[in-house]
Amino acid sequence: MTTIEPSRVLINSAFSGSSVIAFGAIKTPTARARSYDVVVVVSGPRRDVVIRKKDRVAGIWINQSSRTFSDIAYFLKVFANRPLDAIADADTLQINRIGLKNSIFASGTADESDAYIANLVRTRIEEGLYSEQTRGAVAFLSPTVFRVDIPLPKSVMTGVYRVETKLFADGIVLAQNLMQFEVEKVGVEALVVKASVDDSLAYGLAAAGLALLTGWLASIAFAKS
Amino acid sequence: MQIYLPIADLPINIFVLLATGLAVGFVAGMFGVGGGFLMTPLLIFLDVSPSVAVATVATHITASSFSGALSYWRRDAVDLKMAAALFSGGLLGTLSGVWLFTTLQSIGQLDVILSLLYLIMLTAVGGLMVVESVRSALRLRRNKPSLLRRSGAHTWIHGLPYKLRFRRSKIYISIFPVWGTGYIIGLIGAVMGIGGGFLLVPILIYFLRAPTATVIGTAAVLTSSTMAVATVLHALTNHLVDIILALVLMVGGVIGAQFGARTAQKMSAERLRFLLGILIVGVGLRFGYELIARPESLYSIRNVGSES
Repeated sequence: MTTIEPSRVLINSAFSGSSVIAFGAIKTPTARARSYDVVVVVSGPRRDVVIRKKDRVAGIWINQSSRTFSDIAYFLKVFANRPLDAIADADTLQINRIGLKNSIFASGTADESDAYIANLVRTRIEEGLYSEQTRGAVAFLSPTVFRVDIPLPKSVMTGVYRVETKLFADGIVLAQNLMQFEVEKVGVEALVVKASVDDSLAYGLAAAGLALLTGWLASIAFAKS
Repeated sequence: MQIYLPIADLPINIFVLLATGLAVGFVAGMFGVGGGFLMTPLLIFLDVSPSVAVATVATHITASSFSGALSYWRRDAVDLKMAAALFSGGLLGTLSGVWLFTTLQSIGQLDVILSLLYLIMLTAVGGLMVVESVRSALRLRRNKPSLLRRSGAHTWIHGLPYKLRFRRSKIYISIFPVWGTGYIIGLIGAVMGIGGGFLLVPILIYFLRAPTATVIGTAAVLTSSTMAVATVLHALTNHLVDIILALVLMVGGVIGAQFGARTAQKMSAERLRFLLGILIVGVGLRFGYELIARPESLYSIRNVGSES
């Protein structure tokens, strides 16, 4: 149902954000439906997240309490052609994991009154990592062809991104589709990061060796002058 | 020109970094120290995360103090036996320091402990320098020679057992205070991202009664070896050493140090110490301000673990 362009996003040192475009075509128009609704949920790599809260202790601000959440989507954007509550009822949205609060966790619904979760969502919206755009964010090019622009901010994480598309008519899911694209880092920076994790001993020895070499070169360069 | 620092995960202007390296190198060369106590805070003020700053400055200090150590070695101003004895304590100190660093980071208290340590250490050392330079300036005005203490009086340190003779330094002293000194320098070096030269030199002179002639060279040998070990350990345990950041800082630092060393010969020592003291107190107070000012956001979010 959907195609994604491009399927790989390469990040180099000059990367300042990008975007991915998804196209979809509705192939089984049923006479029953007056109009179609399309919801696209894009979710990025899931990671465990530690959220710490500072409090004032003896006049200084210190991390006092912390909560750990498992498998939190680093990137989460929900797109639809019109407001979600007009597309389907709350239970249908929850069962189909549509909307920010229904898809932050790998399973279950987030409690938005929780101060930690609320802060996470607010911070990530400010960073351009989360959003819920429901007014024409899914644009119909013809009655059966639609397009979604997925902006990726500068701070996008490398990994596999899932694009889940659901077709609604009269509040019921008619069809669904899962696609994915990958964000990769390329260039010297990516090699450095990879080496620092995969061969950390060799990396550390190389750093120390480079320092000793620089020190030695400096001492001979300036001893002669 | 912007470059991207892969481990610090930050784009930064390469000229700002080079200038930082030059400036810190200049100050470090002037006083014959590594300059970590200024470099680490400056990187933190440039938005590099404190943990990456500490680990990367270890690499930077390895280079600057190794270059110093080599030039003192050529002038035969290094007590290698003393340096080896200090390093045997320093190795253990560095191991404990990296362990402490990792533990503090995992419980989320590294940043606040670093700020506190910097506040205390910088204001104390800077304050002492200002007071001391004003005092000796006043002494000079009264035409009295500045005091150079090297009394032969014995302290409790000289009563300790397992004495070793350090021929080059012409001292005969128990191994324990030497190990202890090395341990402390290794420990704070690994935790705070400083070489510790500005602490080590006074300890060697006033506490262990080593002669000034060999102290700076010996300190440089110890600093470059403990910091090289700290670099490897920080890379191995926390993957925090940013080799590109380190390289730019090192190049700026070793060049700046040469000019600093030359300028120091032309300036009055009291004025130099006074100016550096003011600078150090200023950096220390900035840490104090960040501890007591209400942070922009009370929450901090950290991704942990690998892909799931």
